[in-house]
Amino acid sequence: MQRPTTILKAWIGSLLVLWLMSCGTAMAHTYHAIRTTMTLNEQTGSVEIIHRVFANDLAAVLGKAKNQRVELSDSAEHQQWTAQYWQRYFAVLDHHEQPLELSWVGMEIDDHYVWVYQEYQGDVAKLIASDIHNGLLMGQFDHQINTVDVVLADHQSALVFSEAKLRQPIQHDSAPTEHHH
Amino acid sequence: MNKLCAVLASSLVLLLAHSVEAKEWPKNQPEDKFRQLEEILPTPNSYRTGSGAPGHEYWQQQADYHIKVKLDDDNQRLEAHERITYTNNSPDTLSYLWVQLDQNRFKPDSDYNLSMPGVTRYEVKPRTEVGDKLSLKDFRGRVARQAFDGGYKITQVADGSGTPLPHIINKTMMRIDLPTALAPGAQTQVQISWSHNIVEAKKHGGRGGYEYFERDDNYLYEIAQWFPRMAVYDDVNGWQNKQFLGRGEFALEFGDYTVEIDAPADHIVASTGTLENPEQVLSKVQQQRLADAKGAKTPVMIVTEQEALANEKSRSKARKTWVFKAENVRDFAWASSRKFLWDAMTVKSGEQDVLAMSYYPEEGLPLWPTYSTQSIVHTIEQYNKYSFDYPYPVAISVNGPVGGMEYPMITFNGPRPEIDEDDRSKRTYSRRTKYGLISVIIHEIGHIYFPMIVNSDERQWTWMDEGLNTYLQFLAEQAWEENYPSRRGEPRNIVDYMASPNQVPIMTNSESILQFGNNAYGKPATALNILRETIVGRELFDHAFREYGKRWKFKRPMPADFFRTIEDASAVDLDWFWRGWFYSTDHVDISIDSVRVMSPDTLIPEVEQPFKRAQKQAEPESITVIRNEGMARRVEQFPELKDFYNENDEFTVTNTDKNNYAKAKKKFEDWEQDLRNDHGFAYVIDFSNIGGLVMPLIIQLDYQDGSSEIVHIPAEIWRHNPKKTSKLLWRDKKLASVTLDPHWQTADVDLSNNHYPRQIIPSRLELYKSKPRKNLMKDAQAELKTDDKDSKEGE
Repeated sequence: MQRPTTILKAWIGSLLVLWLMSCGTAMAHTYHAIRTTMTLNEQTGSVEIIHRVFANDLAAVLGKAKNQRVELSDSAEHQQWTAQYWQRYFAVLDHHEQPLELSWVGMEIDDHYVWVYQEYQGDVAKLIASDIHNGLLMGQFDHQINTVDVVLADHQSALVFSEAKLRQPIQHDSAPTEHHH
Repeated sequence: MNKLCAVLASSLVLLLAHSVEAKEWPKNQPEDKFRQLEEILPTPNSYRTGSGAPGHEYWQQQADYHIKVKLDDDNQRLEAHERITYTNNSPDTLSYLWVQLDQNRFKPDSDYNLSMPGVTRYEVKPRTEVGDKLSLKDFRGRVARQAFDGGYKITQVADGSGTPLPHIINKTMMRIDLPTALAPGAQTQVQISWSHNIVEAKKHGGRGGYEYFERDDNYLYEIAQWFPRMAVYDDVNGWQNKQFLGRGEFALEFGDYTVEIDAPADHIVASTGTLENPEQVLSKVQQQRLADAKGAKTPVMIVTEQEALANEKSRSKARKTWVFKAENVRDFAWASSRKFLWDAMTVKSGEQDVLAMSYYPEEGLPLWPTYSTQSIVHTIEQYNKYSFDYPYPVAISVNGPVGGMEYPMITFNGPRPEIDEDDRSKRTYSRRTKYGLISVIIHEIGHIYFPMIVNSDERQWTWMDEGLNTYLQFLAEQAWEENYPSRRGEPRNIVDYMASPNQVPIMTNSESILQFGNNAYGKPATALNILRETIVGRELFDHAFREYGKRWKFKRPMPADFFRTIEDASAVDLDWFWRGWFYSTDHVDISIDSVRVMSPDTLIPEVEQPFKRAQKQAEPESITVIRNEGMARRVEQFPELKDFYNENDEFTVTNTDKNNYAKAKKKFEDWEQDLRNDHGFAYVIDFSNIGGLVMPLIIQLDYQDGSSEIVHIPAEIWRHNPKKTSKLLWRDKKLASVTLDPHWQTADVDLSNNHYPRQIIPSRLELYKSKPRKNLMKDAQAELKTDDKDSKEGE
């Protein structure tokens, strides 16, 4: 086999480094997933959007964007990058293709996960009638699967996003798909 | 009617209500959560008993291998020949054999490559310049993968004497037709010659492959799924010939291996098995150090850093053949590189000494020499406690491109420290990396027990190895240090997933699992931990789990064998638990709906009447009474209208009351008198089951005097009605509050309904908001850490 060119090698090398950092999720089965819950808090009246991301995965993507190895933290710089990343890859779009305003609350990191917090304080009925676009981390790893569970007053839905399905309405006509095999 | 009678009567009514309810269940009656599991489990037979143990006619096939393999370091390629001796221990006659060709997953036209989706824009509103750049990188990876000339080049399929055998390849499987059918008890030999290009592990995402180090122009190989392996033939599925799609792992037969690895002379080879010819491949010094490691209580360096760095610069044209032998293993993997450092120490396993060894490139320093071998030893010591003594002579951890993967006696583990490329002596590692390394080594070495020894079928049932192993991993992690940051095991860590509708039951085929980590690792591990801590108890459960390990080591258990053994060895009927946790997607959400208080009627008029008066007086005044205050009343205007009843209220004790009590008292039996004199309270606590999973009720009672107690009520309280139940508790103290599951041990997903009176539980986001805000400006102005500059040029 021919050895890769220097540029390609450098690129592959940097990928190796980044991939190594994501090995926390890679015990025998490599899986990459973001779990999002979108819940109406009846005490505060706002819709809380909480994303749980593997810290190593997000660090790898940040590192790739910066072309250097990054130890993810909740510093202002990384919060800002993450907020912008979320704005680019995650949105709730109304039927005029306009994004609903999701306010950035913040993020925190524990030993395994990054927790990203957003809030929506508008009309819940409008939210239910909208679509979610979820391209978070898509294309960065094999088989990225993002799930969004929506619980808004009487409405409940469970959405699964993949590279092949980046956008879908919150309110499906039918009940969530069950997988029985 | 007196109060005791009221209590008894209401209890009777409750009982009647239950029996009536039981009789009058509508046709769409509630699911019986306690229905016998035997309706679902396979019928026991002479191969697998109803107790969950192997039957008296249990059998499994045997596949022994003699392999000669040459590692081509110039072209990252293997050339090999194997002779398989296959013994048919089944009662069946076999006219063909199935062989697994896992490397064919990397053929350009494999299902894996063909099913890869096209390049997509992922942004909400793609910004051309950035979006294209990311897509291009993604695109390049995809192109490189599809252009790779992967898969087996098979040059010979023959019988033991070299006569070609007819065969057909179906993707990752090959059927070999036998000229004479293989009778029960008979043995046959197959020879296969092949070559294949080794995948670059990171690029192809395999469970083995090579890593290239640009800085010193060296390769590190982790070689797995590399030889055509006999497919499983068993009593449950016949041939287990499900294709290898990448996710479902392996089903394999046990056998004895002799493997001769021909590698560049300056390589160090780590492998399944024991090294048979150290004198031919190791220097005298290395042989002496290896001898010193036998019995060593701390790691001994077999190849030092200086020696490994010198090796990195070497380019020997000579070759050495390393010979390894392994008995009773279900697979064989190895690693090879001139970059390896190597350390070893000894751990006692029963009567046997086991060599725990680690192999790593200098990029693993200083993390690897500190933690790798110690983690192996710790795993063996802990897993031995909960399963069986580690039976093999060596246990190995290799650092390379694979994030975490297990094979018999050898594991591949990924985490490394960060290196400052401007000064490579400056190395740091994060807390996540450190504990990530220890955890992955515990996990992968743990897999040598499950499924490398307790040989479950991974391609069918991921949870049988990942779930059981993750459970033991949690126990081992907690024995490493206090407050070890385990990701899985604690019930509180699984509640998000349990509440999620995006689920399939644990009892789902590997390829169909939706959320892999939670479904196959987290949920079963948590379920077992709950069995141990909450349902069965540590002593009984540990015994039952060990029994499962003892029964099925070096054999092939199925799910029913696990379920049955745990019940068989603990005398706890867990059919409801397996149904709920393994066969359903229900979650735990039990609510305290109300707490009612009652006390016995003493019948003593001097006690009861003032009590009733006090109750009456405790009632709030009606709004009419309040507004009528000061109103002129007729009896005030005409006092002569007042009589006895104006002086005495309805609660005044009369002689008749006293006489009635004296008469009644004569008929009291002693127990009744005691009960009536007991100034206690009967608390009736009403529960409803919102999540669907039935679980024990763990109730904390806090009393007004400041004391508290915890009451455990078994899950069987839900037998008659899985949706609602009540519990009567008799106490002599006044209750202040009730908490359900105070230690969060049942994975109850909604804590807000676990309190009486209700408590408002702040959401995670609210908690985050209430934390002291960081000084963002100060953070923004802080100087960036120098380690962020690491590996700018790649490694």
